[in-house]
This record gives sequence, C-alpha cells and structure tokens, in this order.
Amino acid sequence: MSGSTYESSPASETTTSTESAAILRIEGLKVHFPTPRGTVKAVDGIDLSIQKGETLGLVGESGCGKSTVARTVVGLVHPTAGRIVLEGREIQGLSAREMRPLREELQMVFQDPYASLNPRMTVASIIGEPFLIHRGQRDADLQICELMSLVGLDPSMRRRYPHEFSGGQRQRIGLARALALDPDVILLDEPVSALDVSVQAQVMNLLDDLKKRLGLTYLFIAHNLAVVRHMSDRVAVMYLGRIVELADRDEIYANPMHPYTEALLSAVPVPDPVIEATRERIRLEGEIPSPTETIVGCPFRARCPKAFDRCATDVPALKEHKQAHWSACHLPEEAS
Amino acid sequence: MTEPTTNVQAIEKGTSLWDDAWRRLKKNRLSIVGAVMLALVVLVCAFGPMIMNMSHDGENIVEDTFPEQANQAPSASHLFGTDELGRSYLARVLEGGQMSLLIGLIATLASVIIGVIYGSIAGYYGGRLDEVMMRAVDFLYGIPYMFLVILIMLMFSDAQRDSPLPIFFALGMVQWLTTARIVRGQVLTLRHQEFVQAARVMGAGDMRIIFRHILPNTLGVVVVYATLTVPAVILLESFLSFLGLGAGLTWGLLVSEGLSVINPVESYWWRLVFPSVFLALTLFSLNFVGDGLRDALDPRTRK
Ligand SMILES: Nc1ncnc2c1ncn2[C@@H]1O[C@H](COP(=O)(O)OP(=O)(O)O)[C@@H](O)[C@H]1O
Ligand SMILES: [Mg+2]
Repeated sequence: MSGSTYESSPASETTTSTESAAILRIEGLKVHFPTPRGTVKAVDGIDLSIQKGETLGLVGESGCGKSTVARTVVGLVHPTAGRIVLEGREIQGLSAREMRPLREELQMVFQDPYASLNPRMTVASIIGEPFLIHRGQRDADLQICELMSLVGLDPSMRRRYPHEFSGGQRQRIGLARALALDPDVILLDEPVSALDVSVQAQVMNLLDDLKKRLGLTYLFIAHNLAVVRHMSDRVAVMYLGRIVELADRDEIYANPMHPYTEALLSAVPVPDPVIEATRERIRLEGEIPSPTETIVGCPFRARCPKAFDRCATDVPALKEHKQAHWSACHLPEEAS
Repeated sequence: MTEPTTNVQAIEKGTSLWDDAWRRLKKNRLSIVGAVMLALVVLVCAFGPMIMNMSHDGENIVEDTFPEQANQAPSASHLFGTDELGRSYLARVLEGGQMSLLIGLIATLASVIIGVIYGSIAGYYGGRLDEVMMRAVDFLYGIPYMFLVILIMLMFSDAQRDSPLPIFFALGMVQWLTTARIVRGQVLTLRHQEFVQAARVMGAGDMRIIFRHILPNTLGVVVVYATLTVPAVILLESFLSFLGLGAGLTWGLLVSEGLSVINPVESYWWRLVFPSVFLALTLFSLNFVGDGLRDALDPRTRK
C-alpha cells in the first residue's frame, strides 16, 4: 500500500480516487467477556482496515485477543461495541441467518489443524459441506476434487478421515473448506503455528500462491513477527486487546517505534548463526496485567524497559508519528 | 506433502474411527468371549422355546402343566428338571430370558433416546435453560432410584402391571438421568470445539451442527454407556421381581422362586442354579463387551 493518507485513525481513512476502498473495516471494536472473576477485555477498542488484495499481519503474544478479533468478524462472538464493515455493509451483531449470505465473501481458517476438522467426517464431506449448506448440492465431487488439487492434496484421498492426515495436510483441508465458496476475504488465525517449521514454509507458500491466483485478501494472525514478515503488506502489533503499532511491513521491521514491537523483533531468530549468537535480545520483565484488571496509564508500562513517568498516568493513543506509521507510545513525542 | 495429481487414481477408502474401534475391539479377547457368549444366550433364548414346542406338538411347554412330572431333577428328558407344576424348567428359563433381555434392551433404548435428547438440548443451548434442566436431573438423582421405580410402578393398576410396559417405563425413567448427564457434558465441550465453530462459519444451522457435528461425536460414549445400562436394567428388574413388582416371567422371577422353594428337607437346586447362571452369564458378557467398547472407543488409547 502506498500513498495512503491517514486521518484520525487508521480505519477511517479518506478514500481518494487513487486507492481502493477498504474491503474490511473494523472501527472501535470492543469485545468484553463477563466472567465470574471480572470482565475480560479481550479486545478493547481497535481500528483496522484491510484493502482489497492486501495481507494485513496481526501479531501479538498469545492471549492478547487476536483470535477474538477474527471470531468477532466472522460472527462467532458478538462485539460489545464498534463496527465491522465488509464491502460497505455493516455486519456486526447480525444473526446467523443474516450472516449466511456473507459466508460466501468472508471465511476463516482455524489455528488447530486437529480440532478444526470433524473426526467423524470424511475429507469429501468436510470440504463438500459448504456446497450442501449454500447450494443444496449433495454431489459436489468435481468441486471437491478441484479444491483438493488446488491446495495440494491428492483427490483420491477424499474418502479418508482427518486422523489419517498429517498436520500440514489437515491445514490444507481446512483451507480447501474455506475456499469452497470462493470468498474474497479469509481470516487466517495462526494457520501455521501448530505445524513443524518445514511444513510451515510449504503452507505459507501455498497461502501466498492462492492469494495471487484467486485475488484473495488476508488477515493473517500470528504470535511472532517472523511468520508474518514473508507475506504481509502491513503489520499490526497487538498488546492486551489494543493495537500498539501499525505500519508497512518493511517500515515496521526496519524502524520499530514501540518498545513492545522491538522486543518481539528481538525474539525473531536471525538466519545467520554468527549474528544470531551475538545479537542482543530484549527480555521482557514484569507481569502481563490480567485482562480483567483496570489499567491506569500505558498497558505495556509494567514490562517496558523504556517506561518513564508519563507512562504511569497517560494512556498513549495510537497516533501517526510518521507517514503511514502508527504507534501507541509516548516516546516519539518525548524525543521531538 | 502430497503433490497435486492430475490423474485421479483409485479412490482410497479411509478408515473411520469406527473401523479403528472395531479393529481394537477384535483384539480384546475378553470382550470377544463376552460377545460370543451373549450371542449364544440371545439365540438360545430367542429360538429355544419355539423349537421345544415344535417337538412337543400341540403342547405349550412353557405354560402347560404336567402334574405327574412335578419337581423332577435334571435328567436326559428334562435337561433343567421341572418345576412344581411339571413344566420343563429349560423352557421356562429360556422364555424368562426373552423377557429379561427385552426389558434390558427396551428400557435402555428408551433411556438413551430420552437422555440424548434432553442432554443435548441442555448442553447445546446452555445458560439458564441448561441450569434449570440439570437442576431437575439432580433432583431426580437425589431420590433413591429403587424408590422412584417402585413409586412409578405403583402408579399403574394391577391389570396394567401384567404387561411389561410399566416396567419398561419405570426403568427407562430412572436410567436416562445418567445418559442425560453424560451427553450434556460431551455436548458442552464439543460445542466449543473448532470444528463446530468452523461449521458455523460455513453457515451451518443449529440442526445440522447438532446432528452432523456434535451427536456423532458423542455416539461412542453413548454406545458404551448403553451397553453397560442393559445389565444394570436386567438386574434392577430382578430386584423388582423379589418385591413382587417384576415384569412376569423373567430370570429375576425364576431366581426369586428358586430361592423360596429351597427348604431343609428337599433342595430343588436346579430351580435356583439355572436361572442364576444364565443371569450371571448375561450380565458378565454385557459388562465385558461394554468395557471392551470403552477401551476401543477411548481416544486416549488411540495411537
Ligand atoms: N468466550 C470467552 N470467555 C471469556 N474469556 C475469553 C473468551 N474467549 C477469549 N477469552 C479471553 O480473551 C483473551 C484473548 O483471547 P484470544 O483472543 O484467544 O487470544 P489470542 O488469540 O491472541 O491468543 C484471553 O485472555 C482469553 O482467555
Ligand atoms: Mg488465538
């Protein structure tokens, strides 16, 4: 994405003739879960927008609310506040019936390749189910075979059951299912996190390839920055239910602004063993505040190596400190 | 990773979890022995009395009395001896088996159907509904089941109690509670599984999710529990027979009669031994089969 002119928030950007309108826009999204131990603020006010054909990487530690964002967008969870706009239509809080036609535009791939496939169904009936639900099509054998070939699976194995496949193959099955209805946007919730490193690369390449061939738009969720680097156009870093940094991919890797992003980057292994052995890692000290806690000041303060007095009182807002580079930190202002 | 293939070769048939379970079950000696024994008992009970009647043409060997042959010990002409009315005890034991097995089967079926429907509604919809429904189950659980069965049985008139329907009903009514609890627990966990959420994201409705995605995954547990419910029900009916509330001619009735005719002067041992052996054999077999099924279907034993 180039030449974006952001206004007050990354989601409500002005649409000029030179850029395409956002295919998916999330505005002020809050998802709070009431629990016996207090309200869990899993997502606490985030704005994101994804352009058509873009891959937006969403990165953050486990438990920061990434899955909740995806699950809310596909309607598995109802938001506490905020808007979700898909191709110009508001879709937040729609009923299952109202959501049904939108399933053909928006799909999701789940994190766990073992839990996300019904163990009692054959691959053919798993991949064929969308045809049955949406088109009443019982015999979709041709499409099923095509989809399996598309994701690199042997169609002659379609009568097999999920437990007969490896993790990588299962994730391909989940991908074929998500692709069945020919959606425009796919939310990928840590699609490779559960896979072996060698298999990760294969699945990543497949995702990249499919995106180009089918003109897909991805929200790519991961818990480390290494995974999303390969294919994201922009990267958003999430901490405790909020976006703390958002920038173009190359910019965020070259010039991270938020200390949390720096820490995440320092955890990414470098391929060169010499550099890897000598490079410095930022160790995050301190406790992650529990999501039920009410936080005063910057949510990252307790673990931030660069925290100063202002961080204890003011919540840093996500601001565009540089062209198309957003960060929720007081440091850049302090420096200038 | 498999490469995309252009020419589709022969479709490889997969092995479902049921196929897997069957393979494991076949390796379990004790449950195979149990299954064979059970099959024998069922076959003999189902067809034995019919064949015996045919060879005594015109006579109903179970019901007709032959006073001159009363209380005979087992012999070549009466393998299991006779009772005080001269009826062939073999025929009576087999006929009693028919009813005992039928009660086990039907009461279990009833309890499974009620339990699965009740439990899946509570587990699937959750919330307040679940709370109320499970509170009701807890309440019924709190009442001693024998008391409950007797109470239900007493609601029927003597005439009605001559048919086995009241006992099916009474036993089904106490057995479904556990099925409901088990199914509800399973559904509650399955509901949050990713494949159920994936189905929802696919646009699947509640009915499809319940019948296609959730219930098939509870089936294993339900089958195991049902297999273990059958012997429990048969045993329960036997207790009721001792109390005079049984379903007519069953093993329970024969055992209780057999006990009552034991006296110090003359022991009619066959009246107690044969029905007891059949009853015990059936209960053991069913328990072996149930245990074998549980091991075969338990995902933790899966490689
Ligand atoms: N249904 C729910 N009820 C209560 N808390 C939840 C629920 N779903 C998620 N959470 C909590 O919300 C937080 C964010 O979870 P999640 O979105 O799964 O994080 P991530 O995907 O980034 O690991 C976690 O603290 C989690 O425990
Ligand atoms: Mg997650």
